[in-house]
Amino acid sequence: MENSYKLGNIEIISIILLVMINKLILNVPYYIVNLTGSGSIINILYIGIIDFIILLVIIKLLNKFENADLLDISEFLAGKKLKNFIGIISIALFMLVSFITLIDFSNVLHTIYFSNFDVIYILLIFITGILIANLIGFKSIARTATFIIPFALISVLISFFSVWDNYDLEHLTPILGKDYYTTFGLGLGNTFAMYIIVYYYFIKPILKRPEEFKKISIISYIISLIILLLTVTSMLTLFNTTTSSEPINSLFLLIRQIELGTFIQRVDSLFILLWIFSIFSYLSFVIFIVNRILKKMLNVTNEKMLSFSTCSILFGLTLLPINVSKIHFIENTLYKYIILGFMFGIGLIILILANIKKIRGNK
Amino acid sequence: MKKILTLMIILNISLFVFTGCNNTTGIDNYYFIISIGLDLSDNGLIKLSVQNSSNSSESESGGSSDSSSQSSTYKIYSVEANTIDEGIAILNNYLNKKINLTHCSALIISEELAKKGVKTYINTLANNPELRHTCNIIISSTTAYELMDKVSNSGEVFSARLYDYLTNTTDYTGFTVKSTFGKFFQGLDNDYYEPTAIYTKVNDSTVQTSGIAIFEKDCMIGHLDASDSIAHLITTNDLEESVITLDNPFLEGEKIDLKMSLYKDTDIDIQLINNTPFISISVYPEGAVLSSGNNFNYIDNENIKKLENNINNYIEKLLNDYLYTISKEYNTDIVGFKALYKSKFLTRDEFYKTHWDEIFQDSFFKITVNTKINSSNLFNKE
Repeated sequence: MENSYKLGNIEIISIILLVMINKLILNVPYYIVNLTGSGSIINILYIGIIDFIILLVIIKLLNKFENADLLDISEFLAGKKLKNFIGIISIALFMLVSFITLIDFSNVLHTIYFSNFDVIYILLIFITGILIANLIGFKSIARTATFIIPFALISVLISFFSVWDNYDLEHLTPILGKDYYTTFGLGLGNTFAMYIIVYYYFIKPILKRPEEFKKISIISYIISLIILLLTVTSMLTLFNTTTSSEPINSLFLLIRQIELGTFIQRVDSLFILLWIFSIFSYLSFVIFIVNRILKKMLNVTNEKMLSFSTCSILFGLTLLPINVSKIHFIENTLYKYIILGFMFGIGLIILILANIKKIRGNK
Repeated sequence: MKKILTLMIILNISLFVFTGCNNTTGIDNYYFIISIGLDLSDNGLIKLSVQNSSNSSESESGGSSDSSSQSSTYKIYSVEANTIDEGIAILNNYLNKKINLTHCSALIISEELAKKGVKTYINTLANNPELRHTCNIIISSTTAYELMDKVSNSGEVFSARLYDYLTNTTDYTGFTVKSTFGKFFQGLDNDYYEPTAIYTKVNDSTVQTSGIAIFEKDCMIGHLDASDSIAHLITTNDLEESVITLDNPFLEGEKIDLKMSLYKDTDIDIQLINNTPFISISVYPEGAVLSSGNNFNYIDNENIKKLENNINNYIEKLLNDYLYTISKEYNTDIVGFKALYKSKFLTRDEFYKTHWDEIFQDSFFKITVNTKINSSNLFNKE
């Protein structure tokens, strides 16, 4: 891979955290709290441990393949056909993620701040930004992410501590939630919250120091888990978990509560501005990954030009007449199981089989 | 070619920067209201009133309202409608401006409407991104319109502070509670404690806070007086400061005033004895003697002890009266004992087996008061 695509440790950790922050922005904490209620903290620790074990397995399995991502490993396992098949699935997954992120966040912006504008203008602004970022180059996306992440992390900490006075610690009990089955059985579905694992399948070739992949993965995973835990704790202590009311954006409701002294209220617009940058960078990164996959599949020399088509497809998808109910179904059901299937199904199976093949080949 | 391209880009940018737009919505297009009032009209609709500050002394009424305002600095517009949003739409049409709730500092609901249930109205407003969660909720003993009208005449010229004297009084009197929209919405949506709101009494010419409006689910079921409000704040650890008056133990027929606050958080322990909640509450008030007649001596430790005992008895009775009123008379858990008790269980299903909602009415209480007198203000002895 070209040197211009190689990222340092801090840059890649920032990108992984950016993915996590975007999951937090888009109601993932609410889906966790909605399922496991007051047992969410125990549930996050539980799924955090499970996901961590799987992450260690993935790291171990990827060890044998230097500078290779899931596509390269698929090619090694069963040739070009499998590579293309995995490529199409990966593109479908990343396009779905981008589509959900873009449409959801644009709708939030439209509802809260820009109700006088047609949502298509908001979508166009995002698409143009993503296109320009990808045309400029991956380094610029990575640097923007590195610049934004400290502010995004501070914003999570601010949202946690600044509403401390309003916390109702009784919302954290009963500590195991509704019952054991919901927290530890059904709650297993919350493993999708650590969706960042999907990106570990693809980031190895873009690392400047691939030998530090394990260190990078573990550090980014632990920080991501901590910010997820903090956000869910804030949400749990502020909002009731026994009712069926569902906010369009739970983190926005949380930050609306922030008051710094008597005079500073409604600081949500500052957070929204930060989130806009964060969504920009995140979507640009996802489109970059899609372009890279397409490049590998189609043997294109310069994937930058592919940005025009991927961005157009993304824009076209967002114009589909999908109502709230369908978005909710895609977000809460379809999206969740596709991610789980990819993280712990296809990805892991290919890695295991490729490792077996490699061991047999060595023998 | 390059020059033409640059020129075109500059011209395009200039188009957006230097030209106005005929359809923009500016600050002039909004009608920033400072309070919303909700009443029940005679024909079963809701009467929506909105209040904004104005330099004019005239009064107006819009839509189908037949009411008028005597406000000199504030205008009140009323309309009858099926829903809040319909009412706002009618007022938007009448005022030829868009009503904006970002500066709304109070939502006033009449007692009559509150008793029929408020969830629909609260949910409607909660769904509006303009309304702040810090907006206060006030229950009016008469109509919301009347309260808004009386407050308009209070002489306050700074619109943001118009309702402050009703909503901030809890900080220094304890005669009512803090009741913000966010907290009230949480209470309505919560299974573990019932919501409360500021209760106000409207007299001929004035309006004043008068305890707490208490709810069961979304319906107001009654109100507690100022002394019950102090007891409620002590129990929920929300007491900032209050003045209590009790019999002077040193001089018969005289009264003694104390400025009271809490030096330690109230402890609550709940046990289930024979399927009946036994609730032990330990409170830790500290006080400063404000006035105690014409003869007092607080250099003497015995006197302080005697006074502390008297205060202990007074607060114990205050809390007992309050707790038995909410449990026996109203059967509403506004303190959140249920939330405290559920923390003793590992799962919600285990907690539900206790059938708390059914047994709460049978609760009995043990109050322990540990008062500390730490000051007698400027004089120790007279």
